Amino acid sequence: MRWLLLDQVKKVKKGEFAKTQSRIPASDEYSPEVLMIEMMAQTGGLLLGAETNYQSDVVFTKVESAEFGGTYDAGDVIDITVTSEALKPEGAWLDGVITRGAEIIAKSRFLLMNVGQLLSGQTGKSITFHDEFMNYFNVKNKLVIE
Amino acid sequence: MMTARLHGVGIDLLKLSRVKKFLKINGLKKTSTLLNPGELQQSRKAKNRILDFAKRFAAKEAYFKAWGGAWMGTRGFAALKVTLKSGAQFEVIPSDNYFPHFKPASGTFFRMDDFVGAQVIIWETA
Repeated sequence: MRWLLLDQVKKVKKGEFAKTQSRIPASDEYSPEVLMIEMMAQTGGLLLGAETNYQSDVVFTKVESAEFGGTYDAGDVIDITVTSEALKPEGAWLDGVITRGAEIIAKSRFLLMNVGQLLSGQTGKSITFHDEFMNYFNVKNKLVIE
Repeated sequence: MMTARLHGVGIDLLKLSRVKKFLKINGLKKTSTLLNPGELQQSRKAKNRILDFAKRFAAKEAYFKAWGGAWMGTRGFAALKVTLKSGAQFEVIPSDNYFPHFKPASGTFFRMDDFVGAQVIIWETA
């Protein structure tokens, strides 16, 4: 998973939700809607990753639905919230919502799955939640466990 | 110094209920075009033949995706041999005759509810 789309990890409440912030990307290569789905998946990755204390790798396996509405322009600040009713260590169906101010501009339901450690024979570390990412976004300090 | 460069990552996901339906409709006739003789023999002995077939199919799809190739036909599927290892590990070995430039690769399976998936990472050494 690449994390260049997110600007800030705001809060991860283990077993409940993850919140991040970003901006509507300006890209000639991809539509903003595709990138918004990826942002929701990355935010969901933070929620699922918390189940294994960010030790395992997570893959984005399926998009069940995605809806877009409202108006938005490149550069607009957006908030991404992902929740799940049934998080399991092996994976989860997640519900993502993106808002621009008070307006909902995107919703998606998608599946992320835990694949163990992709590089188990080489590093024994998660490549999804590598140290650089964890430190850059200060994830451990944004994680709330109750 | 030998360095490893990522060639590709491939992931495939199957619904076991769909595989069950596929096998019920097509039976062994179709699976014999997707699995090679060695795999068929192992698959017949498997305790859970639906899961066994699903794993092998997903592993082959993931392998093709990791190479970046398009649909390689049923002969392409049968020209790959998937060996199930301990735990969630597997190995894919391409036939030299059919895929002279492809290399063996390993991967892992993952499961949740009705889904079984496979991922393959292919490295190049230089």
